[in-house]
Amino acid sequence: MIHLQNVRFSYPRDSFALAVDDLKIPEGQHTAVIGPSGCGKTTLLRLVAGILPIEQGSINVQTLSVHEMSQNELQQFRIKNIGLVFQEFELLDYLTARENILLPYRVSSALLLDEAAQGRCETLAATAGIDHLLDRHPAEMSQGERQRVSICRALVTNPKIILADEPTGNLDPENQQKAVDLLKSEANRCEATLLMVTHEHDLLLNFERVINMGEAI
Amino acid sequence: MNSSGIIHLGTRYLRRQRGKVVLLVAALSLSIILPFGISIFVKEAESHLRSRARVTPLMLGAQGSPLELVFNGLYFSKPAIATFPIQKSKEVGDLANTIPIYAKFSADGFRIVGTSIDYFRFRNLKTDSGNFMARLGDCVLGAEVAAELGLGVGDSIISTPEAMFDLAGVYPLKMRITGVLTRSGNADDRAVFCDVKTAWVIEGLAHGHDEVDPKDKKSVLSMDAEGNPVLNASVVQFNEITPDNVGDFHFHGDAGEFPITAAIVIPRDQKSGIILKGRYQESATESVQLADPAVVTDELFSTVFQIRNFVIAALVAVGIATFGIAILVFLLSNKLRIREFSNLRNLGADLSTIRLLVAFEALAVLVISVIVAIALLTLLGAIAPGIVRSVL
Repeated sequence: MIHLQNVRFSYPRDSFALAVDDLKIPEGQHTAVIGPSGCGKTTLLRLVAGILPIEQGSINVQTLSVHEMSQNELQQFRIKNIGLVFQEFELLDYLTARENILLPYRVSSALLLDEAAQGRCETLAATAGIDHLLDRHPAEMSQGERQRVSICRALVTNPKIILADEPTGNLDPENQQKAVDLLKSEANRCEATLLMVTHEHDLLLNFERVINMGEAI
Repeated sequence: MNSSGIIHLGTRYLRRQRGKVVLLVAALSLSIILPFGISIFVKEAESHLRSRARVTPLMLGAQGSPLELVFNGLYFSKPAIATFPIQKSKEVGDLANTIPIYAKFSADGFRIVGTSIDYFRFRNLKTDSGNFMARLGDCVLGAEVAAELGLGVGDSIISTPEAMFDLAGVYPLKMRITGVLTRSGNADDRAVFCDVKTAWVIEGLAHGHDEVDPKDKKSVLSMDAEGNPVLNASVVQFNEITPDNVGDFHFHGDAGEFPITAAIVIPRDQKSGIILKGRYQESATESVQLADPAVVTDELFSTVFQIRNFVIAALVAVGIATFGIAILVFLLSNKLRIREFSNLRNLGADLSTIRLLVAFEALAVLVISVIVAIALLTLLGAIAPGIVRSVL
């Protein structure tokens, strides 16, 4: 369960302010977040991931109080629980698809890059249909392939929460559906909660719940 | 912090940025190599010059630059210096032995050194094959001359005419190679040695031709001031000295006035050396000078060291600037990678991991540059003696 209560956040020197009175997302639920640009969809995801600190209120993920964690604790929390997917994919151009997928294991000492992790990378790539591209660099792939690599990277650590920030924003309709299918099937397999920001109203039917950030939450 | 991850990411990044890395490594290596390289070359040149100068007691030559005299006498340098009559070298009397050097002509790009057999004894030179020259027209090749020209005992080498279009000039002389010297690692390896008289034949001071009747008006144009016949060009002059025609070669003029470029002066003892130095210092009107090669090279190197120090100081300043620019390149490059670092943070990297990653990349470039510089300096150290020998 992700529970946000009386959360207030604003950026310094910016008139934008986010207010969430009470938002509960049950464990394993697939939720879409919609709303006009600048309404705070990405900010919501960043608050849940502990990337941005809230000004007041509380954010609890299962039994953990995200708002009370130190930087180190937040780091460990993200490594163990969160899988992040970005609209711009954010792949490192100097790494191959395989190395990008396994990147969390390279940057964190909390994760061990063992045979099991390598095997998960292979399985995920096969599921995503990019197993033949594992030794290629991002520059040698299409947009859809890159996004699938990015999704595999978010899922390789078996996260409990998958936060996807407009992962279909740069994809054609066919690839949009493929990306959502991949996210949903892997979220089901890991019994993970999926929280996805999107502008594509055609995709909303894929989700059990839709949160409109344009309205008061 | 994940050290293996840092190394993995760092090496992958540097591999992907090959162009930038190669440029940085080249710039940094060069800024290390240049000052050290100059020092290596100067040190090698110093040791090379001093070693030869140290074993050459005194050098007699025409008035002029002592440095040019010493360089001509020790290294047979080009262009040739002013000559002086060989008679002047005899004037040292019983105080010293002298060895004439007439280094003026060339053969296939190598200096022909007219001297005496004493030169080989003095320089402790031995023949690798064959013998030292025995008669007029014989020559002995330095080891590198023989190797580069592919010549050996029994072959011949022809002197190069000084002026290609001088119709009245001296004919080239074909010399018989009687020996090849053992490699000595100095200027003797790159010289063609012959007797000083052979060098005078090349000069045109001696020549050989078919016997001519002085009364034969077809062959004799006139008589010169000394009563020698001036021959018609139709009289064939010998351009090679053979056992058959060696008797026909003859000198015109006073042999004591024949030129040499230098003479190695070997005083009988220390006292004789001091007397000789004093004698030549006092007689400012003398047409010759007596130089001490060790002193001349000392003076040369005191100047060279001053210049070297200035050059090294300038290069160190350039090196510091290069390192500064390299740091700037890294800082700017890291500014462009802020988004990448931010994503790494979101994926679980802590701040120290990011800092170590950046430090690893900078350190790797520095280490590669130092390794490249050390490798090239080692190579330079190995080839410097050869380069210095070929230049000097």
